[in-house]
Amino acid sequence: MEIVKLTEKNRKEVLQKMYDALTRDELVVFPSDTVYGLAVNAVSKKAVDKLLAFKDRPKGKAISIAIASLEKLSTYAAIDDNQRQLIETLLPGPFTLVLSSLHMVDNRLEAEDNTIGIRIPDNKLVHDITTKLPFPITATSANMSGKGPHYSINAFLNTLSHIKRNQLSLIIDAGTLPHNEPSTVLHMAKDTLKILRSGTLALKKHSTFQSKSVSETMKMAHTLVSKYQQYAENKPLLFILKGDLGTGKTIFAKGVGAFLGLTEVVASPTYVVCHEYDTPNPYYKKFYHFDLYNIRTEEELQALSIPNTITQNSITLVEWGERLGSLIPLVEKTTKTILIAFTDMGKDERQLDIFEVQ
Amino acid sequence: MNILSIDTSADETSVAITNKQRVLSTVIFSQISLHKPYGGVFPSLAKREHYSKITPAIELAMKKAQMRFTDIKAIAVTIGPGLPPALEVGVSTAKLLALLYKKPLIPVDHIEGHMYSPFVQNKNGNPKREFLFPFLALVVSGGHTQLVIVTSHIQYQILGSTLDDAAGEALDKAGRMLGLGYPAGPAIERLAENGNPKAYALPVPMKKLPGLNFSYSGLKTAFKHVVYSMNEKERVLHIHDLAASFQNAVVQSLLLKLERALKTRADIPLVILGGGVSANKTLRQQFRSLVRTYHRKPLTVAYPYLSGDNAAMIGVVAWYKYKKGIMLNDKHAIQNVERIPRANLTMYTTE
Repeated sequence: MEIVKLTEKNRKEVLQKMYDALTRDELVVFPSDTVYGLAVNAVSKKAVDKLLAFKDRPKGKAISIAIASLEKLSTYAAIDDNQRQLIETLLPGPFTLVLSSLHMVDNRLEAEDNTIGIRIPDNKLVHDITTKLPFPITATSANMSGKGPHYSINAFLNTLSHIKRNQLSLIIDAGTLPHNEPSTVLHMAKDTLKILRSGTLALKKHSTFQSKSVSETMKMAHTLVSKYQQYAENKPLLFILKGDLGTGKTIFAKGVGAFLGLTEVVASPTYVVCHEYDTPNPYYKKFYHFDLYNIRTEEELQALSIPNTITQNSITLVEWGERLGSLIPLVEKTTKTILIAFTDMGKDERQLDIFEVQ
Repeated sequence: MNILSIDTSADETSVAITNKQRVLSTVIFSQISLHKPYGGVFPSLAKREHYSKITPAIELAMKKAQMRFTDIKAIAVTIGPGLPPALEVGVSTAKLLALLYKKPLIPVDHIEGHMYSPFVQNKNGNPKREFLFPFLALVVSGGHTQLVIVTSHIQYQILGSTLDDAAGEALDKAGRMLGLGYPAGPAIERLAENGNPKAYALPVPMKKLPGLNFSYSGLKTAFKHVVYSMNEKERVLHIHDLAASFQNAVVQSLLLKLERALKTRADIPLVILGGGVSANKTLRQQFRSLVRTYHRKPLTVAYPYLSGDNAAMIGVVAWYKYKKGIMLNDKHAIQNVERIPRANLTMYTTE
């Protein structure tokens, strides 16, 4: 077993070492955008044998693979145009996509229903190694089956017996990772997707809206809130907003505030994470405006107790809402949930992809 | 007349003992290095840290001032605006102390603290600065951007606030676009020193719109378009100019509104600058020279620690509230005090 510390300077050498080890069908521990991962050549029987022996993984439980880019996706999975559009909105990001497999990898990595989990990690090292290699690698988290993920090499190694340690060939140590959550697993079938593991969230592609100005984005907020007002009596409304800095998320929130008749300024809640408003609107008496820009871990998320905040007759809007992760299925049960992905199309133009939870 | 004051509005756990305007002791435990790896203030981390540090901070402040609770006349605390779980720690501790030692409780708005910060004195009573009413206060920090007239002690009139991002938040987000760590504001300032503030034509926010409100989301987006149009190499090559241009647009927008207020209000003899962003040298210098051009008196904090979050300024505000009888003595009233994360001055003015 060799442990190599990843630094600014030795990136090239590390890549070569990974390349060599993986080509020799050996086990490599590597840092990803979420947790430490365990990589082997996903098309080699010998390599997958080693991986399964190491993980003590029960048979029939799928193991996801990592690929370099969206272009390579169709080599490993069957996707149609609708799915492609949906995937392009969601990636890159901390998602594992479960798709219909084209059986290009060792079949023990696939699930019993012939699906395969695919990740495109938002991480330079993983991107570089998957680009360099002629085959995909496994992207399962570096832990024993049924145990939690690890954010540091020491924490991981401490859980291993001497025998297990010797099964690992190469370990890339990038220090303690910034405690990002493990990826969310999205199961895609036709134009719907649901979150595996933690519930039955099924997002349905609903519509795309091109906004040419700030006022059009605000108007879109009006349209959406009034459209879903019919659900107000039974369920609070939840907007999950995903999008980069400066794509119009707070503007949309201002639109919701204006619709609700707020006279106060709806400003960015980045600094304090949540703003709460009492509204004069008869259907939605409370407006909760969250911003998870500064929230990076599961622990932080739990501390905000968002599901407890959402009351009847309220609207909750969450900027950087993709970071809700494990909470999405929880809040989805009690709310009418809408996911909106914001994209900057240049100048004042924004695209809003609106998905409704079914 | 000794006051024990507490401020836990964001990532500093601060306790001070003040006597009128004088600071007898002050303790600031910062969490910035702790939050650094994550790039932001972290609610649960902040809460846990505040809880572990508040008691040692109180003990240390008392020890440094050589005081016992019998020497303390009142407890003051920041009730907002701020990070809810962080505020919670300060407010619950202050309530407990007030009830336990039977002292009046004085709730203070964090922004009031920044507006009084230039009048905070050291333990020898220096500097001696006069309140000249009505005075104008420009408060600029990570969470706030406000222009307020202080008509007399504890009487406020808000002239303008940010409509979206705070100025400090904009600096932080711009810094992160450039790949700088948290807090990015001071890093932007350092880089800007060697940069050309006019290298990139960024819009000065709200220049063409009337009124005294602030807005930084448009500037943030314009900056994003510039930064994203470059590759990594170009970004590194031009990082000084990028930082200088962004900082300049922020400073100009602040001064633009200040100048408008000065033009319309000839009755204001004094202008103060407070809040974390007031530590920025470029802003301080240009602020002073603008205010002097209009023949008014500019004031900034006397000691650097007073521009950031601190309990000393809260204690000084509390003294003026105490003099006016703005405090809670009743047990039930004290028990009912709650944090107000979106507090906005007006709630604590005596109309």
